[in-house]
Amino acid sequence: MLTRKVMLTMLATMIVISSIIIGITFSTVRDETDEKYESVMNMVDEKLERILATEELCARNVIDEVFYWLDSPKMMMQSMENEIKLNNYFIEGYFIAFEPDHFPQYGRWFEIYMKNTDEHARNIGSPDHDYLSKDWYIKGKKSKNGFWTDPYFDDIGQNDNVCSFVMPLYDKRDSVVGVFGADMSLKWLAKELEIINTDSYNTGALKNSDSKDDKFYTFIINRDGTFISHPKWERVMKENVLSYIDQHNERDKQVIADMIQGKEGKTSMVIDGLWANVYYSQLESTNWTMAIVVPKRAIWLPALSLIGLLLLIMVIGLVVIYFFCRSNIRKVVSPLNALADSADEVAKGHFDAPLPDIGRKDEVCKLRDSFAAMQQSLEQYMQDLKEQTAKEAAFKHELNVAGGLQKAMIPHTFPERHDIDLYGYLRPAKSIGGDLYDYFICDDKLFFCIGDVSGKGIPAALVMAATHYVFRVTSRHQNDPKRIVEIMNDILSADNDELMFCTFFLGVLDLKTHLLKFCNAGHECPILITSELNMLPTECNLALGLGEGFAYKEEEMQLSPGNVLLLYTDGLKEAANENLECFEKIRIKSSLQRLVDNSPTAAAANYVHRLVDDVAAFVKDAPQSDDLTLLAIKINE
Amino acid sequence: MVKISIVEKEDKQIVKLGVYIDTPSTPEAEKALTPLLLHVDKDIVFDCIDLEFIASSGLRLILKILKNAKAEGHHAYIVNMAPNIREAFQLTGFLNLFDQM
Repeated sequence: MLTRKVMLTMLATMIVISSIIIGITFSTVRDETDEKYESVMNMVDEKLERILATEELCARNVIDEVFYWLDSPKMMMQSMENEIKLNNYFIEGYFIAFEPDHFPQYGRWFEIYMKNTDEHARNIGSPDHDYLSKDWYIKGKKSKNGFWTDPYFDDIGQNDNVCSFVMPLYDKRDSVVGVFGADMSLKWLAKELEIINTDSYNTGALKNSDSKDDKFYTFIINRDGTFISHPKWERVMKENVLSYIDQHNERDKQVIADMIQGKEGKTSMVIDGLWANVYYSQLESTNWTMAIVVPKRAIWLPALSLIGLLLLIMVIGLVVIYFFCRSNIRKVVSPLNALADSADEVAKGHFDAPLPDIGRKDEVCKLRDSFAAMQQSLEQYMQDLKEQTAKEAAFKHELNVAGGLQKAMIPHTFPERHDIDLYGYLRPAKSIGGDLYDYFICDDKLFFCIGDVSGKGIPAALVMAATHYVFRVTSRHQNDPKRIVEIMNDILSADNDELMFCTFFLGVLDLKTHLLKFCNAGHECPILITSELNMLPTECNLALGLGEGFAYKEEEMQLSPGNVLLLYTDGLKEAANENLECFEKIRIKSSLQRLVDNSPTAAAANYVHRLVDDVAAFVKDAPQSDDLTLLAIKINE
Repeated sequence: MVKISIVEKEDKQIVKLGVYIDTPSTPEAEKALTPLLLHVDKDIVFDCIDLEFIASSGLRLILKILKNAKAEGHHAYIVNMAPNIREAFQLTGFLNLFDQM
């Protein structure tokens, strides 16, 4: 997957880069090729000009000779024979046409014509060949320096299309006696052009060119647009270049117009059904226009072959990179997969799952090492956690045992007597707590107490146990609540720097006289139900354990049968529901009142259970926050 | 929040108690009152104007400071108690331990 991502990114990048390179290469090579062909055109132009110049030069040289022998036709013919042998490559033939009756012996028409293939010069002047009215003759006489004629079909000499460079012939007195001309064969010119074209592939700009298969060709047109020279010989002198371009293309027509006007330039057009670059220029000597036509293929082919090569190299490079990347990514990723598998094993709980071995020292190896470290620390952590949990379980067990011991200190059985009905209830909030109650009957006296140690947990439990046992011991030897409480306070205050106090209510009820003596050491006032339901008013003595020597006040209350005394700790008052509302004294009272109203003869147990149930209904699912302790004493008779 | 502050004023130290001191926040209160737990050199006034609730561990803390003050021969007062706070101090007999202003 990583390989694919990397490869796609690389591919995209390569495509972008390739496109840019292709674009640049193509346009660069195309421009270079364009320049090449422009210089080829210049070369062809130059060579053509040179040919024409050579023709002119030959003509001028011969005319000097002719001038020397002007008086002797025979000598003139002789000299022309000699001269043509020298130049017969370039010159098709020389001719000299004389004014009427210049040589009386020949009459009106006398024209010496020397063809390069003939042995001798001859006179071609005759009534059938009336040169006097011909354009070249008339113009020739007037032209000072000579001129090039338009091509014409030479019926006499060549049976060929020729062009002639014509000059006026002067005698010694500077009068025009005739016209001298040198013929150039267009067929020969066409051949020369072909040679020039071929030459350009062997020398010069197109040497080592790859486009020998897409050769350019050259054509020449005159001021009308008629072909002077063209590779297709049948068009020469017969067809016009305008026939071979798109008639509806104004731009192309303008280009031809420019060419004819003698402008120099280059263009891109469809000519003769071929889309090509056309480079053109004027041949000044003759007012002709030459153009080279280079098929577009020739322009593009060098670029395309280079691009092809570049693409091939890129594709090869891409393939190499692909395999290289794939193998390297695999090398990196496969240990990651193995590592992931090991991680899954560890997650299942097999902390000793083996990790893959990674040969090289790189980032993956680092990951593996970190993973191994994590694995070890995880194992250690789990070990520690196990130990911790075991310790906690052991501790919890100890607490449960302690809770059991505490429970054993609290009486759970109550005397079945006819004179007194007693019932107690203690539900600690946790396994151990700080509440207590106790009773015993001795000599027709009921000793009872209820207490609440400050704080929670083990400290409160210790003080609870101490209070319980101190009560038991002290009340064995004392009958007066005041004395019992004072002694208990002194013992519990000793070495009590933490000021762990215990609120405590102690009562001694004479079962015969129903006189209750009591001492309240900082505890909640009990509820006394007589004919009414009220709090039993008590002194607020100091809670136990806060300072030796405190003088406690003892009180007494005369009770009668039917009275119910209900003692509780603040766990009842402060029992809270989920809205953090407390049960409060008001609900305690109303709960008891309901019971009193409905069952005036309810037993002590009923009072306790009624309150427990009402608290449960009030608290619902909220957790118990404090120990709940209740002790009910009902006097029956 | 515990928010206990001790302010020196003339010849007394005013200890302003925060909103509540319950069992979990007692250690924090203890920390705030450390100097007084070590040594009391002036009369102390416990200002309960903001106090809404106090647990038994909180009561013990105040009593410790009270004992320290008494041991060094200073007075300890407690003022501005809300009804439920007053009840807590009264019922346990602690209120009588303080001096009357």
